[in-house]
Amino acid sequence: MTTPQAPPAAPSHIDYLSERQGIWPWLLTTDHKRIGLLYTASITGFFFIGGFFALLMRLHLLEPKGALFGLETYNKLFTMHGIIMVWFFLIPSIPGTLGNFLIPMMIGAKDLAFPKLNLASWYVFMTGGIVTLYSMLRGGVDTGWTFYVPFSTTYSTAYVAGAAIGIFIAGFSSIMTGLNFIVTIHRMRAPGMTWFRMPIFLWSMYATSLVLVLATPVLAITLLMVIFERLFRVGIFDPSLGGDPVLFQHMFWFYSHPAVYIMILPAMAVISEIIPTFSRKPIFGYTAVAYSSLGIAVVGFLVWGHHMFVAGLSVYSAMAFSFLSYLVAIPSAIKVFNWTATMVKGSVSWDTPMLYAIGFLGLFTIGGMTGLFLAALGIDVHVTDTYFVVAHFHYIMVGGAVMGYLGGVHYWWPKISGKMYPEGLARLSALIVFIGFNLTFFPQFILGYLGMPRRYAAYPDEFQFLHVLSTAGATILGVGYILPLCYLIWSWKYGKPAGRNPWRATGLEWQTSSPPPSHNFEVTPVCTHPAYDFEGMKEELELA
Amino acid sequence: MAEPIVRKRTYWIVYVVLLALTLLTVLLGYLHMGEFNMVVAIAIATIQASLIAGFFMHALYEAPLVRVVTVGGVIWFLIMMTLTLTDYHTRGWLPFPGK
Repeated sequence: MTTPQAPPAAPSHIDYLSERQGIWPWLLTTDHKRIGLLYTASITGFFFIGGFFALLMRLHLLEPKGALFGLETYNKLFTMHGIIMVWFFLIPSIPGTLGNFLIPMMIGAKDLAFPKLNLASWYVFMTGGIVTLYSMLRGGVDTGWTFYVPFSTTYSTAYVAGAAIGIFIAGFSSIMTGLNFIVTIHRMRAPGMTWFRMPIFLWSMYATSLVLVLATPVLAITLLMVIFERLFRVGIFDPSLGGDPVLFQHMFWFYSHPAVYIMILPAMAVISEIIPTFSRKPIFGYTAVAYSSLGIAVVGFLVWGHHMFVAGLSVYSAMAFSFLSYLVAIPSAIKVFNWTATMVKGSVSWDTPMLYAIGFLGLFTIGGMTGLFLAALGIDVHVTDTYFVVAHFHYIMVGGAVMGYLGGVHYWWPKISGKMYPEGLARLSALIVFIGFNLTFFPQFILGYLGMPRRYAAYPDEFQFLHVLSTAGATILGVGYILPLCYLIWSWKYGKPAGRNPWRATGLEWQTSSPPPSHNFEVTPVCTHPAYDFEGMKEELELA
Repeated sequence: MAEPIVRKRTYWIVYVVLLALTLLTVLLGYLHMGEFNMVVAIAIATIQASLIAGFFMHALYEAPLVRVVTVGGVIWFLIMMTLTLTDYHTRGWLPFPGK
C-alpha cells in the first residue's frame, strides 16, 4: 500500500539542491547532503564498472573451457571485480551516501562535525579510485582482491603496486569518514537527543565508524609492506628474505574480516529504520539491537583466523578462531529475531523499501547461516576456496549490503530528491533483484559443495548446468540494478512531489522539508520522543 | 577545548628520559639475555611510546573520552598481536609437520 501523502511543505528557505548551481558549488561544497550525492554518483559509477567485470566473468563461464578469455585475463577480471566492488563500492556505499546525508539530520544538526574533512574524504576517495582504475587500464592486476603473498610480492607481473597504492589512498577516506561520524554523534546531537533516543541507524553507523577507524590503518600498513617487499625486496613476508607469508594473511584479515561488518552494519542500520516504519511499530528490543551493533563491531575483530584454516594456521589457534567465529553469530541473530518480532502484529505495508528489507532478512540469514558452516573446522576444510565461499559472501555482501543500500535509497529518495519514484516499477525491480540474485548465487552453493574451486576459468562438463543457471541469474540481476537507476533519474525530474514525510516516519530527518534546506532545519529541533514512538507522535504524523 | 598549558621544562625532561631510554636499549643489546633481549627492548619501547603519546601528543591532558579512544587503539593493537601469536606460539604442539 502507499501511505497517504501530505501536500508538499512550502519551504521558506531554498533547498540544498537549488541553492548555488553550477559545477564549482558542487565540487567545493561542504554541505554533507551534497557530498553524500557526490559519493552516490561516484560509487554508482564504480558499481557498474565492477558489475561489468562480473558479467564478463559469468559470460566466460557459460562454457566449460571458457567462452571468451585467456586464463590471465580471467584472473584479472575477478581481481578487478573484487577490488572495485569491495573498496570502491561496498565499503563507502551506505556510509558515504546515506550516512553522510542522514547522520546530521537524524541528530538534528546542521552538518557533520568537520565539513571540510568530509569533502576532503571524497577527494581522497576519488584519487584512490582513479589511481586504481589507471592501474587497471595499464594492464590490470591478477592477484585476487586479497593480494596474497608471495604471488603479489614476488611472482605477479601485473600492476600490483599501483592498485595497492590506490587502495591505500582510499583507506584514508574511510578513516576520515569514520572519525567525522564518531565526533558528530558524540558532540552534535540536538537537545533531547540522548544516546537511547537515537534511531538505531545511528548506533549502527557509530559501530561502523569504530571499525573503520580501528581496522583501516592495519590494511594501509599491510599494503605498504607488500609494496615495499615487491619493489625493494624488504623481507617481511617472503621466507627467503626472512619473512613469513602467513603473517600477511593475519594482517590482511585483521582488516578484511571487520571490513565485512563495515559493509553489513550500515545495511543493518537501514533495515532498522525501514522495518519499524512499514510495520508502524517501535523496533522490538531497542537496547538489544543498539548494543548488538557494538557487539558485532567488537567481536568482528576476533574472528579473522577462520579465513586461514587451511593456510598453515596452528590447530589450537584454529580452534580458538572457530569458537570466536560462532560467537559473532549471536549479535547478528539478535538483530534478525528482533526485526522479525517488530513485524509481528504490526500494520505491515509492502512498499518498495519494505520489500528490500524483507529480501535482506532472508538473504542475510542464508549468508549468515552458511558463515557458520565455514566457521566449523571440518566443513571449512571441505569447502575452502570453492564456490561455496563465493556464494556465502555474496549472500552477505550483495544479498545483505546491496539490498540494504537499495532499500535505503528508495526509503530516503523522497527526502533526498523531494520526489516520489514510480512505486509499481520499483516493486517490480525489487522482485527482479531478488529472483536474479538467488538464481545467480544459490547454484554456486551447490557448485562449491560439489568441489568447484573459485577463481578457475574452466571446469568439468558436469558443472555446466549450474554455471549456466548462475549466468542467467546474473543477467536478470543486471536488469534489476539498471531499472532503479533509470526510474530514479526519471523521478528526479518528473516524479510527484514527495512532501515532508511520505512514509509517516518518526525520525528528525522527516520533520524538515523535502529536499531539506542547506542547514537542514529552519530552527534547531528538540527531540521530545523516544525513537519510533508512533503512538506518542500519532497526531504529528497524521498531519505530516 | 582550550589547548593545555605544559611547561617547557616538562618537555625537556621527557626528551632527556627518551634519550636515556634509547641509550639503555642500545647498551642492553650488548648483554646476552637470550629471549629476554626482545622482551626488554619491547618493554622500553612501550614506555617510550607511552611518554610520547602522554606528553608530546597531550593524551594525558585531554578529555576522558579522548583518553578512552587512545587506550582503545592500544587494546586493539594488543588484540591483533595476541591472536596472531596464538598461531605462532602453538605451532609444533602436535606431532605432525606444520601443525
